[in-house]
Amino acid sequence: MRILGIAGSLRRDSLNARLLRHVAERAPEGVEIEIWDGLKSIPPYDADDDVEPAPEPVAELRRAIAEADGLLIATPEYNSSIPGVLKNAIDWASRPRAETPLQNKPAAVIGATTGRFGAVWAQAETRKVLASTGARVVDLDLPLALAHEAFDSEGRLTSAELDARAHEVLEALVASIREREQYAVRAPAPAPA
Amino acid sequence: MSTATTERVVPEGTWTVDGQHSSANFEVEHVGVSTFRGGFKPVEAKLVSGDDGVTLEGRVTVDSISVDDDQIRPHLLSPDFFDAERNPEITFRSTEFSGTPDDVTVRGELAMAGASLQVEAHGKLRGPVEGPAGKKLALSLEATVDRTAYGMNWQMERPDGGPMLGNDVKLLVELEFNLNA
Repeated sequence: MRILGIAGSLRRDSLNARLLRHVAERAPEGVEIEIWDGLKSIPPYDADDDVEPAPEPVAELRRAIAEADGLLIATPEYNSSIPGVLKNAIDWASRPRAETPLQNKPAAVIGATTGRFGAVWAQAETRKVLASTGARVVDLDLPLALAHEAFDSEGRLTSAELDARAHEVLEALVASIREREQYAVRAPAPAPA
Repeated sequence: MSTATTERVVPEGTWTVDGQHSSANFEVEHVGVSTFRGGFKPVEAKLVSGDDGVTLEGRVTVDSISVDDDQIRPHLLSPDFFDAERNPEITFRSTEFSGTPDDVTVRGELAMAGASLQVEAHGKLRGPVEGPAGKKLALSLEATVDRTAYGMNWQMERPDGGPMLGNDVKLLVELEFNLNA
């Protein structure tokens, strides 16, 4: 099972990228979280540019989402909401509406901030946005507050409680992916040679 | 099931829907003042009138939904609304069909979005008439369902505080039938 991880901030030492790595390193057997780092290369959404072929970074994002079994987004909170770059990437991925790879895609949202509220609003709004694109969104969050003090020198969350919550969110996402396997229409397997 | 009334209201026989001349649409209040419409096509339906009374069965695929604003289609197919991947069809099967041609009452199970609930529809039956290829009969039905009873709880607050989307959804079904030879 492959999950695509996207951190919603671009900073080299992004706390959200660190949070994703923490979750990825502790993922259960058989679950691989691949962290996508192309967010900065996504151009600002412009309907005039939203034609085929799509700008290459956008095509890459759509392909990465399509090929993943699920999506795990870690978002900071800017001015009480979703960072523009992250919303912009979701907007691109949601197009064209009839073919978006986000349709039915199991997705979960976690978040880290240096403030005291742990990006709860940004997470709620990212869930809302993902749901409106057609994604199958896990109704849990992980508000990691004071994130600059939350990791040890090896990048691990020091709080057992938060680590357990991160695990719970990932388990819910994995369960949603497994459940979906029963319903998703799959191409028939090639006939044995 | 079988009553004297039902045997009279629909002429005996198996009536199969003419999908080209039938529709299954819905209306829901939008921003508290307007009506938003959509529909499903084609409609499959069968009306059987016999010794055991009258039975109406119908079915549409959720994926066939079309709405005035096509941009919201992926959201309507998503778990916030129909969850079409898990519940690809909307089905109806009557449990009671009664009344007179001018005032038909149909009760039955309407299944969608993972729930099956009892609904009551009212309408009119017209015909039979002789069509180009045999007998024709038409049935118009209206029913109102609460979308939240089917777990479609999505809502957004308007800037003035009211709800964006109504909960009551009016279903408008127009069925044209051919008598099976």
